[in-house]
Amino acid sequence: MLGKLLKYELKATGRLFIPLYLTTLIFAVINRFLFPLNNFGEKSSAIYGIAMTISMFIYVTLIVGLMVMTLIVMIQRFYKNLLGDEGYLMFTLPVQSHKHIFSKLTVSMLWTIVSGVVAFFSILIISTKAVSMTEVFSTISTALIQFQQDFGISAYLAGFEVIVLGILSLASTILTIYAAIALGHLFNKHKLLISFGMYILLSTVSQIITSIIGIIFFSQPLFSPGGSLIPAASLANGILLGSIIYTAAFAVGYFILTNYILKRKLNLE
Amino acid sequence: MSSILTCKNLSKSFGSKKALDNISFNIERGRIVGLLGPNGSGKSTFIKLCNDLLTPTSGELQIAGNVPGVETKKIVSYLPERTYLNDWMKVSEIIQMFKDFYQDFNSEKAYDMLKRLDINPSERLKTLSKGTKEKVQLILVMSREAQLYLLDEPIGGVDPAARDYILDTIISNYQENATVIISTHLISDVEKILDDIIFLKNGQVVLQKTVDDIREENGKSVDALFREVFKC
Repeated sequence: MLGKLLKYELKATGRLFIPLYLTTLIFAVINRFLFPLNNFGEKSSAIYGIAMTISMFIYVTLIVGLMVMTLIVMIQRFYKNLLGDEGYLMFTLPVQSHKHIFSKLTVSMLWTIVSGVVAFFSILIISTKAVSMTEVFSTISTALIQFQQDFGISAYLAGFEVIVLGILSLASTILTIYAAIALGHLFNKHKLLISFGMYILLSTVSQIITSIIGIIFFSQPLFSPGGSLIPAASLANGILLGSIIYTAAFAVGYFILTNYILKRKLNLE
Repeated sequence: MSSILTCKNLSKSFGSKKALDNISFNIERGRIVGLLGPNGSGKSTFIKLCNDLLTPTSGELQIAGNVPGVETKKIVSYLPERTYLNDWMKVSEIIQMFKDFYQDFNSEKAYDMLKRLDINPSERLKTLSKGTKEKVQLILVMSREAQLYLLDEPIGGVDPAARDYILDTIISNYQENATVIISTHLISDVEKILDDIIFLKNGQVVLQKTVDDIREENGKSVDALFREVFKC
């Protein structure tokens, strides 16, 4: 059933994202060939300048639109499809409520990542002077080796941890939004406004907790019990692992809260 | 035969307001039951409880021996009193969706009814009129071979000519062993198809009887009895 939910969630959102991705990439290519950034000085007639400005403006609008739409679709799919009229259909499908949350979360994360990748590639298309991909990768691998030498920690392990942390942070952010909407839904009036307030409240609370933990952590002496300085490698590793556990705990907490509301406190209009 | 639905001392409150107040009854298999009462008597609340869209404040509710949940959703076909259709699918796509999620869905039946009602399956849901949307929903709901149909105001929004067709659709599309619960306040329209009635008033059951008994004992139609019981 989860697979089917994912399929329909992808269908419902893909029809919005795919055309926008294609438009963005096509526009980046057009910009790249019509108005190459690096030979701006050569044919700088007024008309050329105006056309280039307009074209760049459209491109920037597309990129901003991509970001805004990723956020709006994320909110709207949860709010409208589960808590609006469509909820009458979704919640009478023979599916547990946590699978609804999970499918929405997975698809939202996917589009956020793809939107980022598309924006990144479109910038590469526009700005680079045919940079070879091998050059990019060799730069990255040099940086990784440098990192390993400086911190004494395996770059692959650290990279893996950073990616895991990034994915968890994304999940945690989206689940904060879901929890805020679900909390706002408990009220009879001004649901969206209260949801917005709940989001600010939830993120402020988690910020405060993060700060307190940070202060406690960094006020500890950087010495191991034996009296020697803790090596940078295990320190960096520890911070990353701690952050992973910490972020995961928040994500799980918000997931449980959202699921509880959808399961026990659901009150469709 | 075992009951399809039983509730015992079932209550649901919203804040201090009691929408359902300690109701208890059984509904047998193979019956068409009218859940009748004025607006705000608790009809929709009861149906939402049966669909796990609300959680009871106290008391018990079981459908085919299970509390509302994934298992009951497999055997209950629900028509809410509002349109739940999204605005991006085609009629044929939502039929496919029902087929994907409900094992008891019969698409042949659905396409057959669409044809009879002159609804084009390749039309987008967004472009349908309100009445047509309600018909599509009814078709989706009645194309399932469910054990219990819960129809909340199925004829509220359509014209009298379509009402007869809808009622025909309801009685001709359920199997012998299935139960249909119809909630409505348009009693005279549904009276002729009902086997049993349950009168709800201020969240309480004031009467549960078979239609035959009402005619015999009270010597009047359900509609007349309703007007008497709920006289303002």
